[in-house]
Amino acid sequence: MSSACELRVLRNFPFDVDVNLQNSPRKILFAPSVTTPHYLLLNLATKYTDKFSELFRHKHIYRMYLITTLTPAPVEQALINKMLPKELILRIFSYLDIISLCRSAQACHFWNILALDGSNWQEVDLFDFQRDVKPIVVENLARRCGGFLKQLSLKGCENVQDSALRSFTAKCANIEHLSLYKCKRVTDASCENLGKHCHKLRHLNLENCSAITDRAMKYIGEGCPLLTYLNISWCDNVQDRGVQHLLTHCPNLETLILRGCEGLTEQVFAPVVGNMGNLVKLNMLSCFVNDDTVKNISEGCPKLEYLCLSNCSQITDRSLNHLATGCKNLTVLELSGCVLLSDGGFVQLARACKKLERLDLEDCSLITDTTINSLSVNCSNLCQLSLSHCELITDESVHVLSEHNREKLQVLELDNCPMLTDSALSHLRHVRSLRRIALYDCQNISKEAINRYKHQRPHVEIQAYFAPVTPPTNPVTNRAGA
Amino acid sequence: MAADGDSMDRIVKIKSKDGQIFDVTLGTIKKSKLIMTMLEQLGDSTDAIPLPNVDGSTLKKVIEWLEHHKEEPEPAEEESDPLRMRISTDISEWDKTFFDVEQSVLQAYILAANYLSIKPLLDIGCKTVANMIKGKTTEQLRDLFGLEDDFTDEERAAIKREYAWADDEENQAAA
Repeated sequence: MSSACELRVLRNFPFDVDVNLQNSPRKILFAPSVTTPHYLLLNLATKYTDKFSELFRHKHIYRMYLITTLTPAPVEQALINKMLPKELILRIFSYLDIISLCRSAQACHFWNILALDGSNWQEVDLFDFQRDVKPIVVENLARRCGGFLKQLSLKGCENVQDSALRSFTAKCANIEHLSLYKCKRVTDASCENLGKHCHKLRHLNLENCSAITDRAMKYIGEGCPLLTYLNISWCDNVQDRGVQHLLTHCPNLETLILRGCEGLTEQVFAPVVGNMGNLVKLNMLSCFVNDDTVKNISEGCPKLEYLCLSNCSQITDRSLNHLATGCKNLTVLELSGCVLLSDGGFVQLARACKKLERLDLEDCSLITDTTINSLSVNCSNLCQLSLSHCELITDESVHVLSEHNREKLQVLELDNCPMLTDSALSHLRHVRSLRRIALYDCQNISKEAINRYKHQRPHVEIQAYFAPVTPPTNPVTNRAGA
Repeated sequence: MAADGDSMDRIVKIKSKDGQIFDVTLGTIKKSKLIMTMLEQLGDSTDAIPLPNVDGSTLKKVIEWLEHHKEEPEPAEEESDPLRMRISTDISEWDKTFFDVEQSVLQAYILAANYLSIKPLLDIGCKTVANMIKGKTTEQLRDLFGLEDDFTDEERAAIKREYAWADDEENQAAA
């Protein structure tokens, strides 16, 4: 490209030249024959000073540097910067990921300005660089993005601390979506700054920011009234008052994720039952929950669609009765490890919560075919059901499920249900929607039955220990004595 | 928008910068907001619409593109896109072939699409250039687009410091 114009100039030069364009197109070696009088060369050089910025002699070689303002030859390829206006280059950049933007920013001044234009930095996810993200990166980012930044993920950026977030919150006050997942150095001070500056925040993930306390909840509650999503899982320094404060001040809250918040008691919702009416998703995995807590939830959250109470092992059928009374919109209910629950509660639940789609009953070891029968008959949208370790379940359960849910059921987990036999699998042949069946440790289901099923429904994933590959002599097929 | 079924067969004349005149149906050209606006203003006049910013060879290709895509519905006009997805891989094989041209030609298409206000064509053109940028090192970008490293030594050092985190992933093609 640019070499073309340089050659053109040289052709006007009145003697033999050795042009070397290998190293750099801007540097031209000029080697006149030895006979050329030096004074003539110097004269010429003076004459052409408008074309060459510099000429100097080394032995017999004269090195010349071209002035860069030479008129371009007509064949020169159009340069993108000359061809396209700024708006269009910005538009192109709008499709770039941050690595490409960073590399583009280093190419030249013009691209530097465009690549760092705030409009390109509305959503930033630094998860891929977590170890390398030093506080300075967050500060630079804040300076660059300013009010443009709406979405930032610092997931796993463990080096990020309060000082970096202080300048960030002040500069990026329009942030709506912030993930500080596993930013363990973040403390109440950062949350104070969030509350002070970022009033548009809607989505905040503080999972594993285990240093934060009730004060953080107070600042966020008072400063971020638009909040709809909050995740403070495993923040075990947060106590009842913190969550209550938040619910009182954030009336739009739809999703509250409190997994493993061991600082909370069973009374956490009691004083704020009237302030949680917009909750759609609530996750209290491994929290200290009892039937009274569930009663508060059922009274306060008529819109609830998703509820996880897995590992809340104290709850009884009374809890299921409460849910049946107050949370009729439930579509997902996770009750893994709630070992006290039994048929009586589930029959009530199934009659009331007919929209249930996903149900996790792992380790609800008291339930029998009665529960499954009631769910099959009432909940026609059921598509995922886990019955792992529900040891009283028999083929009859699978039979009724196959009868009633054959168009919807997609995932069925039956591992460690020792009463199930091969006839369970033959019932399941009729369930057209099935995608996956878990059958680990179902000792009375034979490998032959599984192979038969696989043959008939090759697109269904079967999870079982005995591998399906050519089984001629396998001594441990029969595990009856194990 | 306003046009009904049979008027889509109406012939519209458009004239390129170098004086070439093209006959296109309204159904083909309707994706160009510029021409639709001009037609509204011209009323029943049958004069060729002058397009002084597009040369004949580019205009011919733009018409070819419009012809091929004329049955496709107008994309919904929702996007004032505050959070547009940075997806540039959704380009059909036909369009990939169409845009597999010299850089200067590609840029001419983009300019024409912008001038004629044909959003889908503009989007695919910009995505194509974005795809050329993705996965390249800074040096490769300079070579490809004829960019000149015009930073001072200090600036270069400062920039290098600021982006060290992104360039550590040198080997990992940009996601």
